[in-house]
Amino acid sequence: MPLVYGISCIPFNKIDIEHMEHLNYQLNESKMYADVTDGIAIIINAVTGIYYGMNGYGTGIFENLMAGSSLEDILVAARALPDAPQGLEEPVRAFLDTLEAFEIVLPAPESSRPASLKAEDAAFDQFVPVCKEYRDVQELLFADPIHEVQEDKGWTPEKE
Amino acid sequence: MVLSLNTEQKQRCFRHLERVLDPLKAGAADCYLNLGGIKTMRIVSCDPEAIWMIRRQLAWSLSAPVSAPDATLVLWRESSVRDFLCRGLGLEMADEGTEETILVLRDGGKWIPFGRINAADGRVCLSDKQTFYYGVGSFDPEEWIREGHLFVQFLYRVLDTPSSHLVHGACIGMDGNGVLICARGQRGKSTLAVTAMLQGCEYVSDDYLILEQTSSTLLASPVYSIITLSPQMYSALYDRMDRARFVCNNARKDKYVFDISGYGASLRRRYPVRVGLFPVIDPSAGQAAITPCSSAEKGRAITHLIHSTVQQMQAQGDTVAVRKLVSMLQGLPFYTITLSPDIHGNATCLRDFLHSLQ
Repeated sequence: MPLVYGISCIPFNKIDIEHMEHLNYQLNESKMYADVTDGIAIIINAVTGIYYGMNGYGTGIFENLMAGSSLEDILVAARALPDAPQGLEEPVRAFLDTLEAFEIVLPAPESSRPASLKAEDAAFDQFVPVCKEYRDVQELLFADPIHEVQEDKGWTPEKE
Repeated sequence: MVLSLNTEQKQRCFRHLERVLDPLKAGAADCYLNLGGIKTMRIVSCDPEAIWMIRRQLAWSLSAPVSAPDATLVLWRESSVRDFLCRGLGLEMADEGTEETILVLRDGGKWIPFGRINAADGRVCLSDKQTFYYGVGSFDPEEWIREGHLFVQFLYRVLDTPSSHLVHGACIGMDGNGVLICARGQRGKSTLAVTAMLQGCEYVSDDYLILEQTSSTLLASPVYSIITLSPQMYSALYDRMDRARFVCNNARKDKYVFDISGYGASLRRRYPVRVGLFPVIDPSAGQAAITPCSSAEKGRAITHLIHSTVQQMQAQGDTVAVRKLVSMLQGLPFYTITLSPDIHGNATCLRDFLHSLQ
């Protein structure tokens, strides 16, 4: 089913960059609960039980989105940060795509509000916002390399 | 680091465990817990001092011996966690830098975790069905409360039934109405719980409690009979805490741990939860106030409680548990309580609010 945005009513794959910069989002309150504690956003999908955590830079972007800043507002704020790299827009757009794919956010009526991002979070996260999905204990295990144990020989190199 | 073992290697690990425990069994002592009337647990400690600490901290859950407990927890003092790892698995220590090792049983395409060995913390945790093994370098009183209580990850697994769960939060009850307080540390929940208790509330559980969903009611039951307070709050409440007994400091030594089982005669052990409460500390507030949560605030409170719970129990990724907790909580009305510097006024505000729910 094509994703259609409330204001622009343009299918997602047809939106050009100029349209994208003015996108706004809101929490998908029909199924998502969100909290920001100690600078980290946690989202819970009440229907599936899947739990999401963001890094500090992603949390800052998410908070600004929820407060009514548009994507363009956020990009303006990010570009103004010290040591802002060229091409910082791409990871931000990918992050928003991820939030949509996870159904964490929905399109919201167009609005603008100056965004504010923490330089230390952006630098620490190398200007890459991340939203991580915790949906299976198995996946948590895969966060670490799994080593096969070979008795009397120690553990073998990382499993492919 | 995750180490994947086959069945034989896992058995070898447990044979090594038996060799470690065998010489210690002669000096072992035990006690039994009744966990909210839902599960029973036997705790066998190869270190008798640990039993005394259990009696002081879990007084409300202690029970007479039962012939077939649902779960068993075995405690021992493990002096060398790295050595345990090497001898238990027949490995030469390959990576001195590894702080935590997760042991998983390779079962077809799946990996089933059964052990966690943390060299930095000096802890060995192993499980085999409903028997849990916990070796730690020190049972000094301060070690019992570090990031959370020593046993919560085991109690969580025992209490994880289709209708019950161990959660990280607090509950206060009065006039037949219980409030579930959704807050992590430093949010004033322990102080609110103690002051409410001193004002005659009927139910208190701090930090951890059991939630049980019956056909009609969400019930709270305490697990621990302790409460932790900052030195400042203890000082403020000193004159009135005549039935609380000091147990120990926490590991960071920034909190005091008290046994409040002396108040047990006037407190109930199961209580209906009617509302959720999200505390916000406002040092500039003249008095406490309780207001209904918006849907976003309610979502925040629920997320807060669930996130805090899964973190404490090391259960991230347990979608079944998250769904269960959401279903228990989402039907409750939620309120925000703005806590003022007047700690007794805060408890009075809560008491009046609970009374008004009649």
